[in-house]
Amino acid sequence: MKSFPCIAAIEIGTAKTVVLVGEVLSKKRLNLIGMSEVPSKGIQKGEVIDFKAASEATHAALEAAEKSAKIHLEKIYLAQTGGHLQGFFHTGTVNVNSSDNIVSQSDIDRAIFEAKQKRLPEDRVYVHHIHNGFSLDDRQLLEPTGVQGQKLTAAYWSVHADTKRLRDTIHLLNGYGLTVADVMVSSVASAKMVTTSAERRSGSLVIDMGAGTTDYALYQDGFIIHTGVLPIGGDHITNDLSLAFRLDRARAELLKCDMGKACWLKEDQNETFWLLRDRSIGDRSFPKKALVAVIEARVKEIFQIIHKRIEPLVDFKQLSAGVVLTGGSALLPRMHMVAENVFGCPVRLGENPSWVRDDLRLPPYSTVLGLLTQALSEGSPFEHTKSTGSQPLWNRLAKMLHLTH
Amino acid sequence: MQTQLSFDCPEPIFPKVKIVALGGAGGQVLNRIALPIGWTQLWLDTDLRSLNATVNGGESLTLGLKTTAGFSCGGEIDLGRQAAEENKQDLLKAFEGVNLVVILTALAGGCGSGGIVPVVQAAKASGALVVVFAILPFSFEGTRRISIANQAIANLRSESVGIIPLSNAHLLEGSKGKIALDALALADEWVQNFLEIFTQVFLKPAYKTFDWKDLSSLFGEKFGKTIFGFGKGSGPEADDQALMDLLLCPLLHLPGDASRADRLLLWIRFSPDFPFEVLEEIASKVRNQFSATQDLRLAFAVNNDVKASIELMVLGVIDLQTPIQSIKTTMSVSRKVTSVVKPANSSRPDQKEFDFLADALNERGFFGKTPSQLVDGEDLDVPAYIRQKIRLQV
Amino acid sequence: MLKYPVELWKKNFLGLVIFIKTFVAKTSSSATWKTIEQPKLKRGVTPQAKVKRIKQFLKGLLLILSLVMVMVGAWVGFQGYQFMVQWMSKVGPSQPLSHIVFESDGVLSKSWLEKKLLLPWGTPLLSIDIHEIKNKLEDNPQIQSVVVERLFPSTLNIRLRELQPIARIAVRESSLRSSIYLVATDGQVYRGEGYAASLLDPLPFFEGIKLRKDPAGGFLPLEGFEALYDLLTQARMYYPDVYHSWKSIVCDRFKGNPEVLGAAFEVKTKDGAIIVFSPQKPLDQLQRLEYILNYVAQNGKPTPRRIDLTLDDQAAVEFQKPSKNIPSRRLK
Repeated sequence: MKSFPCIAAIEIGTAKTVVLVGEVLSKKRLNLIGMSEVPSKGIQKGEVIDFKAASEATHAALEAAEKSAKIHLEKIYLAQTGGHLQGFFHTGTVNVNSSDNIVSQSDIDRAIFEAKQKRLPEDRVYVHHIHNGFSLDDRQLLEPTGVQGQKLTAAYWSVHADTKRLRDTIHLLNGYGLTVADVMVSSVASAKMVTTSAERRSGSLVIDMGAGTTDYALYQDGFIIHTGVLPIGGDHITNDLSLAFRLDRARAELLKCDMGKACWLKEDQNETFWLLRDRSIGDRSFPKKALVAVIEARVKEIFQIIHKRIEPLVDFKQLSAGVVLTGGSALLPRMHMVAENVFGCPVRLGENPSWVRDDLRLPPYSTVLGLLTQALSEGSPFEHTKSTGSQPLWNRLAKMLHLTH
Repeated sequence: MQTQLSFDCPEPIFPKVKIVALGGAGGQVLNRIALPIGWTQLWLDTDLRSLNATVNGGESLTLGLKTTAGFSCGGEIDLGRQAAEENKQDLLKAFEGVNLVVILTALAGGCGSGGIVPVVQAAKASGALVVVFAILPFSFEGTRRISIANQAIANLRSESVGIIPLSNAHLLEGSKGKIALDALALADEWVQNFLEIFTQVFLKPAYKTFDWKDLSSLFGEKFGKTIFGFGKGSGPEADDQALMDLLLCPLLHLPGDASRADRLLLWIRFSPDFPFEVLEEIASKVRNQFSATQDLRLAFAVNNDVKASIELMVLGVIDLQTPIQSIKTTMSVSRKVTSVVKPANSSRPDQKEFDFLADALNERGFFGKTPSQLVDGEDLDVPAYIRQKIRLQV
Repeated sequence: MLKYPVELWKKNFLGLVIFIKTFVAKTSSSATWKTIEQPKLKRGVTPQAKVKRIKQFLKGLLLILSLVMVMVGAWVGFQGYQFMVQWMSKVGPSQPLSHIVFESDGVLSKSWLEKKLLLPWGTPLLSIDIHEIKNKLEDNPQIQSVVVERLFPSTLNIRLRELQPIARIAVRESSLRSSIYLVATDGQVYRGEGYAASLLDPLPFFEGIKLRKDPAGGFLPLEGFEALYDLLTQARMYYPDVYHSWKSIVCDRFKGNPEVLGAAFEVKTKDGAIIVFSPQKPLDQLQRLEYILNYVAQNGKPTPRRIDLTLDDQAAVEFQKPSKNIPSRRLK
């Protein structure tokens, strides 16, 4: 047994399942002691479609992680994605109670409580309430305590999920005897990882392109004001290629990875590619333009859909930190060019911070790393910081008594 | 196994062929194509007005006057079926003495999708061989139409017929360089091609190489999926080009599925300047490609009109009774359909393999099992280039 | 009846508040993902889960086993305690000290004890520090060993073994004063207490012995005492008449080692005669002495003035009035 407490994070992706185990040295220091990466099974578009196959892959990943870290896991942090995730913006407004109109902690608590009150349909559950700051009589404030005013509003971006689908994922982990300590939306986890705090303040759109889904999160003034999931990802590019060139899935995937480019440039004019590359019957050469056209149509469409969804919220010209691409599919060459074309603002490929060890610095690991670092800062970092900083006594007591989590 | 080379031109038998247009769309196709000499036509529709507008010579029959009162079926598959059942006696009479029935229909409306089964049954009852050209709806025509087509194909599968599905999406893609959006016109072209070659191969006395008995034995008692494709090549590398063209023929789509034929007819027409070894090479390549080691019948024809050109046609059958490795899992769609609609004449075991057809129907590839991702009315699982009608330069 | 629930409520007030809080949270706002039940691993779906489950099971088993062992230990302990309590109740409870049984093989008496020690009368028997009593008593040089026992319910038993005096020594403590010390059978020199005069009077005195001071107080045991002891005890046992005539033993010629040439004891009798003994073979010498005395008595000879028994199988006898005519004779 290790002398330091350990935390683990898992991302059950469509293409791969990654588990990281870290040893908490202090509130801000983490030592990575275990990791495993296993190709996923039974997952499509980020959702479990074959529970048994998904269990096999997930449990294999967990076992490998336990072995590499030489510990037994009991709790784990889970990154959740999938088309069923939705979000909405909600505020809670209260009148400031005291006679001198100075905002007190209890006013803040009431406003936060109000903001989270919105009822969901039967089959939906909240995953996060992401804090979006306060406003006091139409003034935007980070910390309203002690300020004079009359109407206090707390704003939240609340993400909710389909109960059954979320339950499936949680039960995958329960099946291995683990308890899910917290669930985090993938886009939130990866966005934190690939952006700097300055970028988050000045506004940035992070697009995490996975195999099954494309997750995105929009930062403004340091807050995540919008998240979304598009159940379209790298797998769709593969599928498109397989249908366009009549290839089986494995060959289409290989073709995408080896030859795929997100957009066509003039310099590729005379390039051709061999379909099967073994010159067997049925192999033939095609102009590369056809290949790129299939991919570009898909990639462009993904960005266009996101653009359409984000447009009402933000002026892309004022999104000073621009767009950051991450996730496995973002590694496709010239992806940023297509994005730049669609969004009309600077686009860069995300990279995990330099303190991360080299092999994990690639975009495909940003979600699980983000998850682990969030887990390190413990609890829900999206809550209003004040209330997590000093937990009320009864919360802590309730935690001890296992009445709440 | 030995390949049969039938160069000795036996005494030709002229089979009686009847081409049937079922429903409005089928009628339009029949209307636009040039018919081989000696073929008779039969027009079937419930919609009296549309029938009057399209019939262009030959017999015509209004189906289900009692059921639909001379109007269209409005997409109701059951209504179409009832209408055709109503005229079963007339149909039997119309097919009397016919050896081959070619049915043209679109499996999206009520008349085609519903009426097809009784029509096929009637034709078979009179002892004819049946080949169906089924025009499938576009994926963007909505899931309802696709599911109707799925259901109709499933129903049809239980009858012993050759089905050649014409997927609009594939046709679009296959029509090189053309920006014709009229799917039916494209279907015309393909049907025309098929009929031309069909007549060339089976019926044209001058080049008679396969007799139609070959055809009936091909489609014999054990019936399965139909493979049909053709390719052309010309110039110095005409043979390779033709082979490639054949393998990329949209009708042979999804190579995994058409990679193994239980019985296969290969027909080669070549210009007189072609060396014979090349033909042999082509034959062996085709045999390997389709794994048709069991039963490959070969026929040759010479085209004196052109130089350095070669045309290939394959027509084959994959038996459904034998396990097929390359075909993966059963489609949920097809299961649903077979359980809901009990096939009328289900003497054969349940149709299990059906996926490549279903895949062809909705173009969703390996997302076929997952629920549709509808954004702004478009199913995002369908390739973007298809929905955006981007023409691929191949 | 009413008191208990009130206390309980007070105790659980915090819990109640928490309960209300969570209840309110659950009913008034929409569910969070935390409301999704997370079932415990029941049956492994995959081989990995099965292995994990077996490991967990073994871990649980180990925990349960150790718990059971702790419980068994506690039970055994409790049973032991119960047994003790029962035994104690059989023996009777500890009561205040009311009797003391005092035994000694020597001369000390219960009254001496009462004078010497402040006896803890009235203290419950179990609270009496018997070791303290034992140590206090053993500090006395006259006492060789002490056994102190509790006899429930209220009696204390004290048994002493004392030194047995065999001789006396007059020790000059200053120029004016000298006091009598006793020599025990093991050579210990001590100041006797509680001895009756009749008991001490027959004991001969040692003279001419050099006492060595013990740094801890008192004197160290006599050196080479065994030779003296043998002489005295054998004389007393076999020739009591001879012994009783002895007044003192002068050890000027004995330095502790009996084998040194010329080592001898000079015994002064009450008649004023001197008998010289060799430190070795006292019984032989005593035998010869008696023979000489008998011979002298039978033959009506005057009382011998000095008898030297150190010369192996001979003895030199000197008579009271030595005459020039009669030379000293050697007796065989």
